[in-house]
Amino acid sequence: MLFNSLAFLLFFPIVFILYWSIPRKQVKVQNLVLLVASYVFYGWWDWRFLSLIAFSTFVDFFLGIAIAKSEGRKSRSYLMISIFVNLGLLCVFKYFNFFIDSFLAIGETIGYVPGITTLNIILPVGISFYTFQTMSYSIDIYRKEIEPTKDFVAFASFVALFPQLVAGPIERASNLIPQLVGKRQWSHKRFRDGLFQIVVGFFRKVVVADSIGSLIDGIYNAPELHNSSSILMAVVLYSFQIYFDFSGYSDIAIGTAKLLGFEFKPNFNLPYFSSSITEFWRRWHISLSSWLRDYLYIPLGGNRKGLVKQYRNLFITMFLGGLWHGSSWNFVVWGSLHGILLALEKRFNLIPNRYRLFNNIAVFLVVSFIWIFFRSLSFEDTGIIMHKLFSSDYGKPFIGNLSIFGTVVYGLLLALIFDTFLFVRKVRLEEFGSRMKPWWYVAFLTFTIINIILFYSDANNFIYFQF
Amino acid sequence: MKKKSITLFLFILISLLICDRLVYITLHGIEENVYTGQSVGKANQFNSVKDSVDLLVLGSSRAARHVDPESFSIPGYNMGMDGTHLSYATALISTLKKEGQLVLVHVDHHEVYDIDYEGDDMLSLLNESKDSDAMEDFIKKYYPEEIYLSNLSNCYVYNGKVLGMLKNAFLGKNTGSRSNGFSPLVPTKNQKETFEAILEESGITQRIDIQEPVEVNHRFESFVDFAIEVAAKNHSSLIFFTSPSLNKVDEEIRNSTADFFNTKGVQYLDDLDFFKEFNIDYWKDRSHMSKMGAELYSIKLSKEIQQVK
Repeated sequence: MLFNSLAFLLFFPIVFILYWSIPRKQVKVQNLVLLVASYVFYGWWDWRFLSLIAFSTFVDFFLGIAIAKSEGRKSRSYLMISIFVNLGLLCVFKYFNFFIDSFLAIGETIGYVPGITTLNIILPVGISFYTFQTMSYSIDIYRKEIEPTKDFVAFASFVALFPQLVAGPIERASNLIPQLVGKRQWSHKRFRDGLFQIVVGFFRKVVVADSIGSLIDGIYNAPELHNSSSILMAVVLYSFQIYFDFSGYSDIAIGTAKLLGFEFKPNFNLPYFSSSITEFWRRWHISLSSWLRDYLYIPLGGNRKGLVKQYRNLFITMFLGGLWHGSSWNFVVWGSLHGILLALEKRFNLIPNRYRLFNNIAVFLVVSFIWIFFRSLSFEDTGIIMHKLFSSDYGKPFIGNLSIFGTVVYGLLLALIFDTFLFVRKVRLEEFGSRMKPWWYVAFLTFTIINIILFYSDANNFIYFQF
Repeated sequence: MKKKSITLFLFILISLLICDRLVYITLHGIEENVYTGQSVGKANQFNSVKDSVDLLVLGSSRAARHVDPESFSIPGYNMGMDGTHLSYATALISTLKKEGQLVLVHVDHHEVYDIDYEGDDMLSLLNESKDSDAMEDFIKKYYPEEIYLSNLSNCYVYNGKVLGMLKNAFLGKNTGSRSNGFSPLVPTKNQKETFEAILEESGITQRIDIQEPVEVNHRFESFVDFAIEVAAKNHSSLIFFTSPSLNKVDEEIRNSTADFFNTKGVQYLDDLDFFKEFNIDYWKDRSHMSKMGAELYSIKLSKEIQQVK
């Protein structure tokens, strides 16, 4: 089920009313409602893949208890089983065909034709998110940072909680499980913040990002047909598309969770106001970048084993971070380039400790340029786009449907003004709703919702579902 | 749940409801005076002439670009619309009241067998459903949720139309004169050269493959049935036709399409191969004729219909 679907518009109020009508002391019943709702939410897409979530839940629940009960090598073995199972699921469902294709391509170049073929495997929605979430649970128990929960329903709800199930944020057990085990209190502040964030998220996603997608998809899908101006426009606009698409979805997820009484960690913090690539990664997809930092970069040695190893660790982390995004070499190159830039920033000490406009512009341009690898359908297309960007074929850009173009300009302008306001006033979106005066709050929500109704695009191309 | 939260929520709902109605009234007022542009203007022109003209041409961009009502001896209007198909045309037919009209509906062979076609192109007429009960009933039959949503939020019917409508209302050249809806294509020198290059590279005609198994789309069939029903009620002549194209389908598909319409007891004219020889001056691209080609075809179609009638 998509947040921007009629099904969700009916589903959420039913769950909300049912959930809050349960007496506060009946936490287990509330969790059961959440669990059933989450499985319905996921099963709406394809019920067969619920078995994968259930399997992952069972494995990590019992392994978590086993890890905590044992010591030394035994504990480590249980952890390894958990990691093996979770990464195994990812490898089979997400990377099997990618590895086979790469192997075949290498074989072809050296004249060897192995007798293997790819399989017709469907990528289960959200698998990258919930496997990372359950894996971190086992690792945290092994590190003795958290205690395993003995409440199976609470744990299953942690794995499958519908606001964050299909596209994150990747929540940590240390943050979410205590909230699931404890009693939920209705908070007017949280209600205001949550509703506000949901509405802003919808605007970002269905008005700004989806309209941009409608405008530039044609250019990215056939770059050879377009001139340099159109390519440049598509490259810049894609930076905004992916940001408003994913941050908008995260806003809806975080806001929905707030309405159910949960506090998720922020996932985006105005990343295009960064003065360095390092800062960009502190503001972009925070739940993933902090996951990679805590469970990959630091275990690799982080910055504790000399500069060369730090650069290596940054590169490996971003290389694998790129691979996490998708089973394609395009993503690997995208991640690797970020890894190299992070290392270069460290090497040449290019990270300012305060905001600088010039750096901000430079970071935006560099990040936009690297997004080309992320968005292009192939390396051939990437080559065409790069070539056109640096050629002199600049002319009238492709506008397409005037109405869509107008919506892009209007929506983007409103969204950027709002983001700039948040940045200048140093306010977090997560807590902005409750800081507004009630009349302003009502007026702002009314204005935004009317704009969503008038300008939403039904393109429904949520980028991060494919990961 | 705290009383405060419920009160705030109710305030938001009331505010939304009031603003929604106010915005709708404003936009509806603007819409009524727009007679240029595709999304709203052409539909308004159609509404103003549909019950007075004797000929109506409906269908996709191929209908809009290929049939000139001036070639017929009766007053007519071409309501072909870019990006639309049979459901849009049928939704318009549902609003017809005049008796004895000649209604020409353009279809393409592949549309008859397109298993993915759901007819959601009718939804671009959602704004019309607020002024026409017949249109509302027709849309409700296939997309009831859209009608419920548009009753909940009146503004919903203007989704995706606002900017185009405002542009045409305030910046459009509203000369007061009404066209006959025919919008022929006149290729520029550059477009002609590009098209020539494409044809040189991949051949003059292109084959359209129909997805197996070849079965008539049920929704398509129900739209045909509905159009026949309305035409019978109005004592109008309903004729389906396929205009010339360089996108070809198998002879078998053409025959089964003709059989389909025959079994429905409705006239069907297949003019896919109207031009026996290729002349680039008659074409803008593979699916659209140029103004020159369209004018020739319109004369032929007019004669063909006289014979059929």
